[in-house]
Amino acid sequence: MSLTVKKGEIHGLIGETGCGKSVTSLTTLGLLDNNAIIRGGKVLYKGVDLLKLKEKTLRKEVRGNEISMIFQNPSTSLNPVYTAGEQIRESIVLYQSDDKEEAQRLVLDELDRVKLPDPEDVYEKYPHELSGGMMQRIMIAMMLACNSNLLIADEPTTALDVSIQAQFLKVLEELKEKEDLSILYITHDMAVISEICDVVTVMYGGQIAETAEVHDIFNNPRHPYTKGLIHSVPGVKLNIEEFETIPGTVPRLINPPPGCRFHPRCEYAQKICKEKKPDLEYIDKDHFVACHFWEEVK
Amino acid sequence: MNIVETQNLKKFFQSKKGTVKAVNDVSLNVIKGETLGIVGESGCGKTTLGRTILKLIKPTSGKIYFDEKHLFDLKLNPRKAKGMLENDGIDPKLRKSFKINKYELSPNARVSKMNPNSWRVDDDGATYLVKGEKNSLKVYGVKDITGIDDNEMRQYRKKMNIVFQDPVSALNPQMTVYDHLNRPLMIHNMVSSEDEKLRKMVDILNTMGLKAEHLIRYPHELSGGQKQRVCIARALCLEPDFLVLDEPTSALDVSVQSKILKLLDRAKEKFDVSYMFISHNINLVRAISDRLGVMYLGKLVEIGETSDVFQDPKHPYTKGLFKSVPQPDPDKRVKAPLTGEVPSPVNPPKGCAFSPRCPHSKAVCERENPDLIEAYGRKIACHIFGKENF
Repeated sequence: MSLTVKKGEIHGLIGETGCGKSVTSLTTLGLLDNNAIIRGGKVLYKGVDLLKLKEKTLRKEVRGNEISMIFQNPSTSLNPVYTAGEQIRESIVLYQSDDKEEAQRLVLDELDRVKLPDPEDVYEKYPHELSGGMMQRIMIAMMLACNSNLLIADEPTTALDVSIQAQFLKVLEELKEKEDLSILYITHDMAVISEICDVVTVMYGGQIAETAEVHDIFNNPRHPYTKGLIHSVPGVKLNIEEFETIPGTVPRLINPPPGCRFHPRCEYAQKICKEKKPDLEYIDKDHFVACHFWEEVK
Repeated sequence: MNIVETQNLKKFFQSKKGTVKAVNDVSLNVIKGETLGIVGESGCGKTTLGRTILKLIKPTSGKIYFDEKHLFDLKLNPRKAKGMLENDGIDPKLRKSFKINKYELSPNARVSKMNPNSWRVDDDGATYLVKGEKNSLKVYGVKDITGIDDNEMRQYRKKMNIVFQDPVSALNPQMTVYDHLNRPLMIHNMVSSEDEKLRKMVDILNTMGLKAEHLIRYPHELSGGQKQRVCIARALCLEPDFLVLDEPTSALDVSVQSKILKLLDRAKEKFDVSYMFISHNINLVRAISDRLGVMYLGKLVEIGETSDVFQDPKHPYTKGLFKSVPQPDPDKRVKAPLTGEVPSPVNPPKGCAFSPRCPHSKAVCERENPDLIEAYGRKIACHIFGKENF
């Protein structure tokens, strides 16, 4: 699994349940459970291999400071007994200024930056008094408060309503434009990907199936899985009769199929797919695909 | 003809903070054979509406009618008819026309007005709906299931059913698929022999793309999509006329979701069932429903043919909501059209509930609650855009 997030880019990582997208992001920050073994590879951030850093260095200098993460359910990420303002102030005191009044002023600035109405009011509110969309924006404000350069967002809008989701995505896009923020955006929603991402990586069974610029993914998908994924999203096809389905279900990774992991569900599969794992091939500028028969996929 | 109709349906919950008006004055109908989609954001009352219609929770007020049957027409001048129905008590002429058509009304029968063009006639447990059309009055027989007790409700339970969002919690982990299908079939005496029962079970499983061998499986041995297909099979095995589908694919992966939708579509044809499809996924509802209702804070704001509503949404909330939906096309990006958030249903705004977020709001919107009225071939609840000649 190799993936690059460039500066000022929103990189979408998409896949279905259990394809390994969250594990990828947790590995980046060294947040995996104790029973996880990293068998090899590197996580390079500005040229430094994060996997070689000590836990203490990671905590003090990388997490929050350089890379931040937000999760699907903001209500479990915030502390219920502190107000929203106090929680953001904590990261400011840690990373920027320990002057109390200045810290408070900075918090209000951050709340304003993520477009929360009436920052003074929100500052005093406890998480349970805020809606999901507001909480998720508090999480972003917290991240901005530590001046992170890379945001890893793991399904940040799955728990939000569409109108709130649209507002939230707008905030992320503006931050990208104005502050040159880089984002690794993890989701299972093809429509959200098309909405916000510059580059997309499609994962299947713990591996990359295809990676390309967002227009290429939608207009010229070359992996049968990407194609199936796009055509099973309502909105592309308006009539149920025309919906394409991908037969079968996502394989369990305890005992994945040999060769190409997608072959049991693939309409293009032939003998070679069962035997040989396809390499990620270059097919066009920034467009890579792992399929033996990508030339036949239309 | 309607399979289900609600009139001014309300469901309020008491909480410590006050009364939550989850469903507030909803009148809608589900036409036989159609799929009615209900969309709205979380907390708008769409799930409560579905459950109240099935009487899984008791309505606070309003009426639920089930299984409308057209009885006869009265050829009448509509103005004359109106006068006849708006008098207190039953007009002798109306009584006579019922009698001619072999539906005799007792002396205790009462007429009450439901909306400008329809009336209900109650008579000793029988309920008739009288609806005004161009040159006639159409008389329908319906079953008013609002007030009936659980015992009487049992015979309607068979005819109306529900599929829930999360198939994991909707199935009993200690029961096999056979047990799940067996129970409803036995309770409602649907089969006379074990042979017939098995044949029926296998037939319904096949319709849902499952096989006979799945009968001996426990829920944990099935994938998420298979579990949901078992739930749908269970709901369909009583051959209901009406099915509420409450976010049936939200817990599933997209590649599985489209398969479930196709199976539902096929089952609809085969079993001649009408659906009420509740979802927050607007693209999905667009694909599956014939008509579409949009809810906001416990009220219907717009309802009409799906294609009409999508092509030209009239209510400002519908417009904003549709524009917020990301489309799977990187060339069509959204510009966050709705500001603010859904207010708390405990203390909804005065007047039109959408007015604080509405870009077109005027003084009247903050003062008065708009009625859901006919315009543009659909129904819209808006002071500004809800009238054709504005």
